[in-house]
Amino acid sequence: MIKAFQSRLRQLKKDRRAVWVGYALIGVALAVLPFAVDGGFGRTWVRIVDFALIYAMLALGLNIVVGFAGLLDLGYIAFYAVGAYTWALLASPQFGLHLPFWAILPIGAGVAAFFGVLLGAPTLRLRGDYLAIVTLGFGEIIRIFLNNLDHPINITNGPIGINKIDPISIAGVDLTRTHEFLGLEFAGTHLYYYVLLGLVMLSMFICVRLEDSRVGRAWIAIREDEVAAQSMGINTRNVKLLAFAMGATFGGVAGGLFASFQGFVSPESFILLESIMVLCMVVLGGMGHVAGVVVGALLLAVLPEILRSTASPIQEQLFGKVLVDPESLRMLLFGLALILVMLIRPTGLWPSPIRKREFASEAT
Amino acid sequence: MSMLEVSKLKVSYGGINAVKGIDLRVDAGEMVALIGANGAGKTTTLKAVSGLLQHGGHVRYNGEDVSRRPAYQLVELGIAMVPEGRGVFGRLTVDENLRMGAYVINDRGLIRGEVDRIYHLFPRLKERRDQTAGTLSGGEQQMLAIGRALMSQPRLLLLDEPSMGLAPLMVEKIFEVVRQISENGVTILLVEQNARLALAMSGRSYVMESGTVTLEGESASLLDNPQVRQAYLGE
Repeated sequence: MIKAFQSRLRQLKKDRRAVWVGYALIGVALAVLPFAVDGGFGRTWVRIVDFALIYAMLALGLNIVVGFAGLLDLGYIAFYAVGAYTWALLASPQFGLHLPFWAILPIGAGVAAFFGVLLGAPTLRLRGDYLAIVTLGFGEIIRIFLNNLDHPINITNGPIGINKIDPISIAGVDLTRTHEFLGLEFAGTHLYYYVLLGLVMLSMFICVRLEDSRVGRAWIAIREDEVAAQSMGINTRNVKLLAFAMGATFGGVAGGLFASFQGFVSPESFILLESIMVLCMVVLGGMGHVAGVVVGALLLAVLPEILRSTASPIQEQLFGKVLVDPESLRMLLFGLALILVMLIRPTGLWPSPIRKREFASEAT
Repeated sequence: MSMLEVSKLKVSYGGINAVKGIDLRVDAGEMVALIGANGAGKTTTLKAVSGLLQHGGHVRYNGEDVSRRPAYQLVELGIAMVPEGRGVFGRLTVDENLRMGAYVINDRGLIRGEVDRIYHLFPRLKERRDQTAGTLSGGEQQMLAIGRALMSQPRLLLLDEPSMGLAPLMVEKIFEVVRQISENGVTILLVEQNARLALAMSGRSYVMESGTVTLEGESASLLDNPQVRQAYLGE
C-alpha cells in the first residue's frame, strides 16, 4: 500500500506540471492555514502555530551545530535569550529605545553570533560529553546573568523581566493590531504567522544551501573525523566557530521575534528544559535533515498543546473525573512518545540520507 | 635544497619527550622511509611535520619555514598526509571521501579528472564507489585513504604505516601502488614498522629508536647492516 503510494509519488515527481501544481497547493494551504485554524479551533491555536514556527527556526539553527557539524550543544537556548533580550532592550520603555525592527533584527543576529563565537572559542578542543557539559553551563550562565542584572545597574529588570516590548511594524502596519486587506480581516496573530512563515522558509533555504556548500562539506568532515578533516586542508577552528556563530544567529533572530510577538521577556523562558526541548526536535525530526528538523519542531511544539487541551475532557468522559493532572500527563506521554520514536525510528522521523546509511550499514 | 628539511625536531606529550631533536631531509622525487619499533616516535614525527602536532624545531618545505603552520595550510602548499589507522569518513561513500580529499581544489573539472585517475589507480575503489567507507575491508580503506590524500594533488605525501593490520597479499598490492605514485613524481616520506618492506621500497632510510635517529643511509646498505638485520629483520 505504502510502496504503491511511493511509486505513484515518484511518477508524479517526474511530471513537472504535477510538481508545480503540488507546490501551488502547498502554498495555498499555508496561506489559508491561519484562517482555517482560527475558524476551526480558535485564536489560541493560531498563536500555538506561531510559536511552533519560532521553534522551527530554533531547531534549524541548532541543527547547524548538532546536525551538520556534530557538536553537541545543550545550552542553545542562551542564544535565543540573547536575541530576545537584545530586542527587548532596544525596543521597549526599559531604556526608552524604540528602534525599528529592520535595525534590531541584524543587531540581534550579530550579538547572538558574537555570543556564539564566545562559546565556541574556549570549547574548540572539546567534543562529545565534555562539550555538552560546557555548553550546558554556558546556557545557565546566560540565564543567571539575565536574572541578576538588575543591580547595581538595572539592565534586564531581573526576574521581573521586560514588559511592553514593541511589536514588529512593517511600513506603518503594526503587526499586533487587526487590519483589513482586500475585504479580509487579518488579526495580529495572523500577520505574525505570515512573517514567521516567511522567515522559516528563508531559514530552510539558507540551511539547504549551506549543507550543499564548501562549508557544509567541511562540517560533515569534522563531524566524521576531525583529524582527517584537518588533513584534508580544512581549517577546523574557523569552520567550527562558524557553525557556532551561524547556529547562534538563527537562535538570536528567533529570540527577537519571540520577544516582539510575546511583548514580554523574562529569564524563565530560557531554562535548560527549553534547550533540551529544541534538541529533542532536532533528534526526533532527523538530525542533519532540514525538512525533518522542521517537521520535528512543528510536531513537538503542537502535540503537547493538543494533549494539554484534550487530557482533561477525555478523562472526565472515561472516569467521570480528572485522575491525572493534564500537565504531568502531558510530560509523561511526551516522554513515552520520544522513547517509542527512538526505538522504532532511531534516525528520526525523517532522517537525512547519510544518517540512514549509518544504520543500514550497522545492520548488515 | 631539499624538498623537506627537518632540524632539531622535538615533540613532547606532557612531560614525556617522544621525539628528542631529530634531523631528516627528503629530496624532491625521493622515497624516504622512517623505520623503527613501536613507540620509537615515528608517527609523532610525521604528525609534527604535517602540522597536526605542536613541536619545537624547524620544518622547511621547499626552503620555506613551515614550522608553525597548521595542517590545513600545509595541504594547500602540497603536503598531504595519510593518517595512521586510515581515518576514512566511515559514513560517507567512497566517492564522497575522495571528493572531500579535494577540499582545497576549487576546479570542478579538475576534481572529476582526479577522481577518475584515482579509480584508475585503484580499480577496487571504483567497484565500491557508492558503498560507505565504513563497510570496506581494511585494505580497501587504506587504498581509499591514500587515494583521498592524492586528491589534493600533493607534491609530498606522508604515509603513516600503510601496512598496519593488513593481510600480506593486500600489503603487496598497496605497496605496488605506492611505488607507482612515487614513479609518477610524488615525493614520499613513509613511516613503517615493516622494516624489510620499507627498506626494499625506499631509496634512503632513517632508523628511529626511542625518539632519536640512530642510523641513516641508503636503504640498500641498511638492509645489509648487521645491526639492522638483528634488530628489525629478525635475523
